[in-house]
Amino acid sequence: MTPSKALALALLSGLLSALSPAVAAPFTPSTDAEVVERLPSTTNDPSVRRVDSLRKQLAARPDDVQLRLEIARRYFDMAMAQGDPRYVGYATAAIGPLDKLAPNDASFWLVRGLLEQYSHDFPNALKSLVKSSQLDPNAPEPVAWRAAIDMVQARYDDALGECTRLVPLADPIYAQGCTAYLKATTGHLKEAYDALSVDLASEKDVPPEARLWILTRLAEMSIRMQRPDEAEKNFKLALQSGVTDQFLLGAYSDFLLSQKRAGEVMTMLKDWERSDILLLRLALAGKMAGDSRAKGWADQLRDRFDAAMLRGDRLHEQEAARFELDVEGNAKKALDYASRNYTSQREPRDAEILLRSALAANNPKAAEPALDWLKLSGYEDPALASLAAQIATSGAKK
Amino acid sequence: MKRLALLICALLSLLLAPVAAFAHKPSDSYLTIRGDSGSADFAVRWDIALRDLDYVLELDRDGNGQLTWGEVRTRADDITKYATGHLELSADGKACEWQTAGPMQLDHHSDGTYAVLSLQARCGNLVNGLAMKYSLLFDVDPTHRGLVQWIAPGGLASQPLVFSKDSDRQALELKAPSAWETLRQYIVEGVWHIWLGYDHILFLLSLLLPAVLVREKSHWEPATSLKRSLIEVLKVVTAFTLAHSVTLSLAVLGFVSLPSRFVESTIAASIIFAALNNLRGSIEKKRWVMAFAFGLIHGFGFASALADLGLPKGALALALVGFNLGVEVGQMAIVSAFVPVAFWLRTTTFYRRWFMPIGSIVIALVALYWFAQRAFDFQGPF
Repeated sequence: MTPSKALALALLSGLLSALSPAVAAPFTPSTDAEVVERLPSTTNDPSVRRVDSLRKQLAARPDDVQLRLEIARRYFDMAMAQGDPRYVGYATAAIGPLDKLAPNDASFWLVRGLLEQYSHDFPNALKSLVKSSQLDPNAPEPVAWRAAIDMVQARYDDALGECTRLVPLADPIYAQGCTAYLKATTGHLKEAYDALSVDLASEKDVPPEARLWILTRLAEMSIRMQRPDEAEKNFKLALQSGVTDQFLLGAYSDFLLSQKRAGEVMTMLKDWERSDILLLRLALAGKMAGDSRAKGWADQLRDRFDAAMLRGDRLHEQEAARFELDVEGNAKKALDYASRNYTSQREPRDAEILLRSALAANNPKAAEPALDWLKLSGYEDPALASLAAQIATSGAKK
Repeated sequence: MKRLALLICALLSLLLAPVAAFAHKPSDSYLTIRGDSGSADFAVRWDIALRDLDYVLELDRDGNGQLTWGEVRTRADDITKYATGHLELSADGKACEWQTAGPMQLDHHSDGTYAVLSLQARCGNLVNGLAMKYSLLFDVDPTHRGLVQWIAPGGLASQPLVFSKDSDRQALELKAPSAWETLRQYIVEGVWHIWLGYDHILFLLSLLLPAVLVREKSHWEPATSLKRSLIEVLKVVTAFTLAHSVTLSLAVLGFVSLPSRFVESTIAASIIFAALNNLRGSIEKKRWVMAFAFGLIHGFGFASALADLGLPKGALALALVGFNLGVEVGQMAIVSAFVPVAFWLRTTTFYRRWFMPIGSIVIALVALYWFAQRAFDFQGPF
């Protein structure tokens, strides 16, 4: 080593050791009146207050099965509405003793199945939901959830069985929606779209949540049929249903981004930074528009993915893959995430990110599971077909 | 029935969007446990979310949804008692004794404000090892995790441990990987990276090919002295090293970041440029300037390789210096294998007329292929 290099290295290490302790210094607020944290339990949130009071009752009656189930159910609904995973933890704790206290309670097995699917423990979730149906054969919920899990894991025959089982158990629109979504995924896109549109128009009292779900699906189908105007119309109707749904906002944002309408995405999502999936869309839109906030959004997302990795969470992999590919431009990392994600989740957009990452990383072999699915399912989508064709060309040259 | 049906649909829609379900972070607490060589005391810094503490201890006395520092500070003893009641360090089957090492403070994490406890665990006989049992919040939130950075006595780098309900008791390894061990590990990684990352080798070779020659009237003549060639080599290698050391450090420390596609494409472009320059010789005297300029970009490439390896907290400087040294060693190995042979061959027509120009063209073509791949996502036959 030359003296100058030795000197440079010495300087460098000096600089580095000087920097290291500067990380993360705790602080002490200067006055007692300073607000240091805002809790979710504001006085004007009745759902939080209600569940808090139920918790207090539980302290006096720890063996009350119905009370435990109600607490768990309320926490789970709060987790779904607000996207806060701590509530799932609280719900899990609430039903903790029930496998001993109430092993023959259908609702217990239903709630347990819901919590298991939340943490992507699909095999156990299915077992719990089956058990729930055995104990209460007329309950539609466990059937609907099994159908949904089968769809997520691309087991279409099983899903069809569940959709059929749903027919006598619930309002016809649910079985119709279930079947149409399945058919649209397995090679009967146009047929399913037409049928579901008619069903929605002919049914009078479709609850707003159902309307929103169906309209979002119709919008997605319109995109796949290359009818952007119709997609836009369906999305707009869904947004008018009066129900807030992060998934709808995410799907609509993706549609807007595909049309290079980044500005509209940033306006629509301006108060949604706390949601990971919508923060991803903000970061993508910011990057597309060269917005000054784009870096901040990307930094926040990076922090969240790093934190999830630290605790060994595998829930965010689809988003993490999109983040690595489209924001960070790191195809290899994106492919790692997308491949791992595809081992448990096999929805069309899981396949899409796997195909895109494999293509970008120039690794056609990694795309095989998604290509197989595309061939076997008969899924119709020009975007996926074109990705598959590109991979086939590059794979053939190999 | 209707309410139930409504619920199903809401649930169905949400399940079909399983990604919608995790906006905030799940509950974690962060511990740094540091041993001190020659002592059986352990310093513990423990960060616990105020929100979690409020859930179990009801810190928000006035129930207005806002925690003030006063509400938190006055409960410091309760918080410490609750926390230490759910964490046990034990040596030789006996629980270590907890002591407070400083007043409770606060810190910000990505999902809110955390109480920071400074504790000291006094343990007895360490001969039979040290174990830790963690049970914070598991009774109210089984998805909670304790994320521990464990620094063994005399160690520099920390070792990450995750405590969960199903793995709430773990041994803390008392034998620290020494600073030398950490340094050695990263030196080896650095050497590997140079050897496996052909692009850096090719760039260096393109700069070294003409080092044993001098440009005379638009053609190459053998250099007259070894000393002159070695000085040339030294200038190029030093400039390259200095440049990539600077950007490697800046990138790893998070001061600068560039999109990896841009970095990788530019690295490929730098090789094309350097190789083609050997044919035209337009930059002959100041090759070190070129080495320096492109070295800056190669540094970003090294940084992403190092980031992929994972950086040890607390020993970042060591990892950085080690990796850099490894890169140098790898580079030196290439230089010392190549330069003597090139110097020996320099007087031959073969070297000047064939080896150098054709070698440069081959290098440029390979790099052109990489460039197309990296910059335009071109899917080539390889």
